[in-house]
Amino acid sequence: MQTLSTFVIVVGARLATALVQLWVIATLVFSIMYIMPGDPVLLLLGPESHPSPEAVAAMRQQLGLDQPVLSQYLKWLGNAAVGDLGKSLDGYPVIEYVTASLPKTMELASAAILVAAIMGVPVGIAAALWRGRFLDGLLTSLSTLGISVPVYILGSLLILLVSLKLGWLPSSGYTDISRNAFLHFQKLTLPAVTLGLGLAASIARMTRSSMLEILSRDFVRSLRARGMRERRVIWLHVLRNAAIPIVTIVGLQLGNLMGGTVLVEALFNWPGLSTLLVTAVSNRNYPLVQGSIVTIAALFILINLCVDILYSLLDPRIRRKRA
Amino acid sequence: MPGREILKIDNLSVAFRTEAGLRPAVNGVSLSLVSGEILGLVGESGSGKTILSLAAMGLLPQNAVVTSGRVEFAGADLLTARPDVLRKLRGKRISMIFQDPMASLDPVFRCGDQIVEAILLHERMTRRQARERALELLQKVGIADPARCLRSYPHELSGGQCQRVMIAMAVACKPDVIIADEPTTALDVTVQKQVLNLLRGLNREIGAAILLITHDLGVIYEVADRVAVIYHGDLMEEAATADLFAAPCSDYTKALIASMPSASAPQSRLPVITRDGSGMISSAAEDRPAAKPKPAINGASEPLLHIRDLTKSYWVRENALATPRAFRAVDNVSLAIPPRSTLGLVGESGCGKSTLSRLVMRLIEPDDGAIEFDGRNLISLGREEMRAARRDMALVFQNPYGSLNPRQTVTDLVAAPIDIHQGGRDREAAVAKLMDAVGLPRNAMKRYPHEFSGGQRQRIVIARALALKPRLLICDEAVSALDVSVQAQVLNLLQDLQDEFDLTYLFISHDMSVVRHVSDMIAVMQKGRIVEAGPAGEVFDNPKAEYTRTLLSAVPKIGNADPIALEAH
Repeated sequence: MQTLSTFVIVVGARLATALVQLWVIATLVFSIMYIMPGDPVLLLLGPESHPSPEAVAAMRQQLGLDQPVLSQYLKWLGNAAVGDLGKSLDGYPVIEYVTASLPKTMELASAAILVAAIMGVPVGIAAALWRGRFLDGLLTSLSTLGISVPVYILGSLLILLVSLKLGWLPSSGYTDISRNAFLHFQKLTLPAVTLGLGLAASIARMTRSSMLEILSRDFVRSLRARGMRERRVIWLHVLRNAAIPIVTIVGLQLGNLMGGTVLVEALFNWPGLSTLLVTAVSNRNYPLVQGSIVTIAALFILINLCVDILYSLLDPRIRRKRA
Repeated sequence: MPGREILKIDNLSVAFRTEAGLRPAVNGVSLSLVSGEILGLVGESGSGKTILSLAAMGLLPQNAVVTSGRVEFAGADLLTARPDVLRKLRGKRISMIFQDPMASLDPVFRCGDQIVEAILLHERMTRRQARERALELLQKVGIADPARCLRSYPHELSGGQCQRVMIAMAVACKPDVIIADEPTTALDVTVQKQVLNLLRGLNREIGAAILLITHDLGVIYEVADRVAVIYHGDLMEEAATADLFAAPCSDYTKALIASMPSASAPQSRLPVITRDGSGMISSAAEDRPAAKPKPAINGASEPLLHIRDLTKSYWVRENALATPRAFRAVDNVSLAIPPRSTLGLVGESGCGKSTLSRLVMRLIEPDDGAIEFDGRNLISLGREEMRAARRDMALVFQNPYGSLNPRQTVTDLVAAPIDIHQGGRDREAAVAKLMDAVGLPRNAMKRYPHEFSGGQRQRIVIARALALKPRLLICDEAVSALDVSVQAQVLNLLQDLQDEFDLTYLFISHDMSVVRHVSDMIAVMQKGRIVEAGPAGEVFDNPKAEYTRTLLSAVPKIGNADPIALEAH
């Protein structure tokens, strides 16, 4: 049982780190209001309209900006901790906007990771097993291409080819799954492929090099010497060992993935968090900006937490690492 | 021996495909393994002994080609057998044990699951039965707590335990043949002795024939019934063990036996294996001018290095919750080395030898104690003073492959200390002189490390260590990675350099015979403490500490014929 308790401790420690990270981000987001040039109230009211001092004061009070900074900060933090991210300028709670768009972004990101794994891992394995042959060269060059093409170009090309020329899939938009599940997934496919392809290329390259490294290890020779089928050697032992660096690369690439959602959501008109953020920024809707940034950050931290836990499940040496 | 021939290698030749065409690795070797016997196969690195064993299992690397010959087992030629036929033989009737037990187990699966998997590959039984069988096997190979071992991952076990797990897997299906490739090379002497005993016992118990591949003649002498000697891919000779050691026929075997340092009978210089233009191999002990007289060990001369009560602890935790406790890597150690003498420091892995060497250079900071070098306490020196003081000492590490930057030329490598401490003044001339001193040609200066053999690389490392004319040279397992014949050359070189440059050595090794050969005085270290220290002859001939006796009795010796004498007391 010692294994289990150690595991719980490792996860607990990681969770505590995640909370600290979240706090730092919440603090940074809070300070944006003060670091950004210009008075947010004036910006909100529109400086050209030369608002009256009464209007400014009223706005300040409405936003709670007339109180001391420290109490504003503590209030913001306290509210954020219980899920209250304040009110948007149009009067609705920020959390409502966030909860409406968060699942859509998560769905897009998960679909992209799925696409990346389904494409990247087998390609990497094939390239490693046929190392130095034609197939390896082809797959490696394709993955280099996949890494180098920017998301918006890839997305535009896919729309042009798959939607406009071939007419296989709708070019953009979002349909709720409860209304039409088939259409929902049809509309999900192109953005997910666009977002996932770059990651698939990274995963393919990492899988290839990681597989090659593991294949040269002594224990693989020992497994063969024990009369194990090649299939079992590769799929059970080699892949399980090779998965550790692959999971790492996925974890590291998730930052890029979240960045990519901004472009992909805009390109495909996907009503996710990034779209929310972009709209909020252009409308100078500060509470909404704060709320969406904190949510995106929390999502990012959560995904990394999952990667770390997965990592320790895969590698017993990390799980039982002596502190 | 009345057994029947079970594995027959007939006129086997293997070559590697390289850019320059086929490079032969094994040339027409014929060997046969008789049931129930232990056949020792001896050779140095690159001699082709591992290739021979891999060929027998059909596990040759992809760039290897069999150019002629057969490997007969159970009436079939293994070289032409179909993959699924081979697969059914591997692990079931022929099994293998490899050199590095830690690396030979899959790190992400529990040992128990790996043994169960190995059993289920060839036997029809339930998982539960296989698990019970695994438990029995672990008991048989002498694992103290088999149930715990089943649950453990390889990194949680020691090297010796891992090798036992490997052996348990190898004997799981009661094979006819076990091929053991350097099974004890990565292990400490005392563990090596246990593993060899185990192999011998299993050989008697289940009657499996063992092909024991090793570079260590001592190991062969103690356990093998017959010996085959291989050199540069050629079989030099094959004979019963006692006959081979009593009257070796081939020149190479004679030279190989002569170049081994002996723990019981030290020589002043080791003969070196040479091969002349016609390919004749001979053993030559080249003459050198008589060494300057060594200073008397117990004489009045001030020690160059005097370590007093040195202690270094690390904080370790048993698990994430436990309170950390101090682990004393070096525990109250006191040593004195007179100038121009050699102190040999022996002990098994993890005893604190290397920590001690790093403490002396203050590469890590001691907790307590004093290090006096030439009368000055190094502990009291400031950062810059210590940096200057390090000019007088140098370290030579174990692995000549890892300690040279592959992107630098020999000149740059050897001149590095000159660049650091003397601003690179006269570096070319200095390096040229050092090349002469360590016996490398001057045209080596423009070349890169990968162009040299292991022994030559260790010469480069030694040249670099000597660049600033240090007074103390710390050799941390400096010859452990080298073949016996190369080891002999490097040991002779160290001796010559000591005479020439008045060097003082702190010579750290796990190899008792090497330490005996080079040392004037010996200190035996166990668990961070010095358990015995004294003049070399006295420590070896009349050991006082129990641990020293254990170490000495574990060293495989040629001339101690009865394998029964090996049994652990």
